[in-house]
Amino acid sequence: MHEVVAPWTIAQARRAIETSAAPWLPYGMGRSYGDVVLNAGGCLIDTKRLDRFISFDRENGVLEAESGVTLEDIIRLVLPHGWFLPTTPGTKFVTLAGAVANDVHGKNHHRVGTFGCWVRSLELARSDGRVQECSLDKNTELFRATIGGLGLTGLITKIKLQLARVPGAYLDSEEVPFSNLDEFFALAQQSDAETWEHTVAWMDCVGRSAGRGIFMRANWSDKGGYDPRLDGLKVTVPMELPSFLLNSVTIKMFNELFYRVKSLRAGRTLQHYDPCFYPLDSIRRWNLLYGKRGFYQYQCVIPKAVQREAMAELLKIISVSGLASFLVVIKVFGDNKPSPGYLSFPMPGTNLALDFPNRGEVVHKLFERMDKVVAEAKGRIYPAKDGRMPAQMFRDGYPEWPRLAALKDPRVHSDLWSRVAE
Amino acid sequence: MNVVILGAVSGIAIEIERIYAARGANLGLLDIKAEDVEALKGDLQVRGAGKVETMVLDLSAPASYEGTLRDISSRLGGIDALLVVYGILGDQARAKDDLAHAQTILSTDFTSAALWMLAAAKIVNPAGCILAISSVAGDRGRKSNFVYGAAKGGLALFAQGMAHDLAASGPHVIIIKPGFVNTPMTAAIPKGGPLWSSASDIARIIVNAIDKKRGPIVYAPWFWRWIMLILRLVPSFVFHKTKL
Repeated sequence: MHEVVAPWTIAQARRAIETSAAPWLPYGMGRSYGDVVLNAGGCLIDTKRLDRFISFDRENGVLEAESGVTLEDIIRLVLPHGWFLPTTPGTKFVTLAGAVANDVHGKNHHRVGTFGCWVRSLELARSDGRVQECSLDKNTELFRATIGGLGLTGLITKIKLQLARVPGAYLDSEEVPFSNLDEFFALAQQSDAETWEHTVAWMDCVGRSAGRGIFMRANWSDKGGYDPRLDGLKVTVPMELPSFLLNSVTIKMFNELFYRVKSLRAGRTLQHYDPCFYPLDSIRRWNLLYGKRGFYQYQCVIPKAVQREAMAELLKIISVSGLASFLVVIKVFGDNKPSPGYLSFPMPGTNLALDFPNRGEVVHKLFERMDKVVAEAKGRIYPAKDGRMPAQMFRDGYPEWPRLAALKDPRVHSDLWSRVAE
Repeated sequence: MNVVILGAVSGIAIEIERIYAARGANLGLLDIKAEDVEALKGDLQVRGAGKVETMVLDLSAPASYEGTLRDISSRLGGIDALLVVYGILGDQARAKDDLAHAQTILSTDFTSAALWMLAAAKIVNPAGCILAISSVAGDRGRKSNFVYGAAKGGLALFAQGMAHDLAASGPHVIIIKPGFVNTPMTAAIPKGGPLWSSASDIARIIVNAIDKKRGPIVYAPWFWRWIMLILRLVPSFVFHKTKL
């Protein structure tokens, strides 16, 4: 149980954090999967109403806004003027501060780095009443601890973001089927050489066809105009689906169908940014498809040096387990632009993300086997999606974590932090 | 288009202003909280508003209703839509004992609002619109909030009369009756369930009503018309047994 406080202005938010009796945690749109955004028995500061824009320099693409503004709000405002987010996660229903606190990454990571790379400055309010402007030149340590800092350094109140120029709202997109991991890596390398900006692949991890998938790559196009198209029809999952509906058999069928349909339609199309970047956003409450028991996501990154072997090992472990995942995303991260954040998840190498319906102990056992591979490869797990990583994995994966611990606001607390760092 | 909002910093008002700002409208923001009005002005300008003029005053007791409206009208170059959006929920239990509190609810939510509307009739562009916010609480006096309900109910009747009076000449008069809306006014009330609307839902209904000159009585959302119809038809010997 949480006490939830939803301040309507920054002044109110500051009063709330300065006077809160219980330990508190900032809460944006709550899209993180595990306990990153939970604080049992404590207080959550809901930032949704801190949603004002402060300034927008249309010439240079610099936007300043309060921390609760969503990425959707930003796109709606800036796209008609020829600007877009420099990089974006797979959903636009996250707050600006949430994107910074998790140092989110997107399909163009290998070109532009993480979200945190594009934050010019931020304003941070702490329990002791201090409000500090942080950037690479000012309060640098606090800036670097706050990017990817999971809300633990205090309440971000304002953020100044550098946007990216785009020629339109559409992308020139191509889908290429592949039949195994080696072909995936070959496509990734080829796409990089051909300067595709956005790349990601869906992969089938079930049974004998494990390793096949569809490689998607895209570049912004100047055709089609600048319509943000944000008011389209949306579908909402009305209730939790019975859990037996999502099992190995049905998932296998889904994967087979998905692969075949996509292979038939492979080729180049002009695609609007919304279905390209945010495919799940048009299905509200899609998590309910997993039923009452829900799901676990495992998202890890394997360093470049051992990526082929470790990925092959992970795929073997998954397909042998018999547990099925149908949303498997695999992507190669780049080393162009390292993030300023101390706790940034991406590193040069390969990123793998899977969803498993929660089947209890078997899923945990699988994750433990996967942990071994990731740890041995010196990779790490993404806190934004995590609900169970062991403390040692966190500490080994994020060697700079003591720097965050040193700068943590003493009155801020999250369940993830007590699980991995205390 | 020149839009003036009385109670500019209220939950529903902010959403209305954002819709108009995206259309490039000129806005007149009147409210009592100075610093909130300034932050709001900045936000609306980023969102595309044209001219944004602000005034800080106590809307329930202005120095002069007509004077204030003429002032903002000259600063914007006329008023095409005047929206009376401010109000207080008050505390029913307290109002019964403390008559000064009851008076505050009645004068803020009814008397002053009605006087703004009368003053506006002469100042708003005849092709334009005067809109005020009532409430479904004004459809039947109920023990849980009849002081607030009466003020809102009275305002609805007032607007209905004005609409009749101005039918031939204009401006167009609309009274909006929202049900449960999630805003700072209802912060203390537990939320949840399909009957609750967001401030932006109501704002969209309001802007649409002004665009299409709907009304004069518009329930927001539409289903409240039927809920309240049933509620009004319940005979008192039954209703008096409830705690509603």
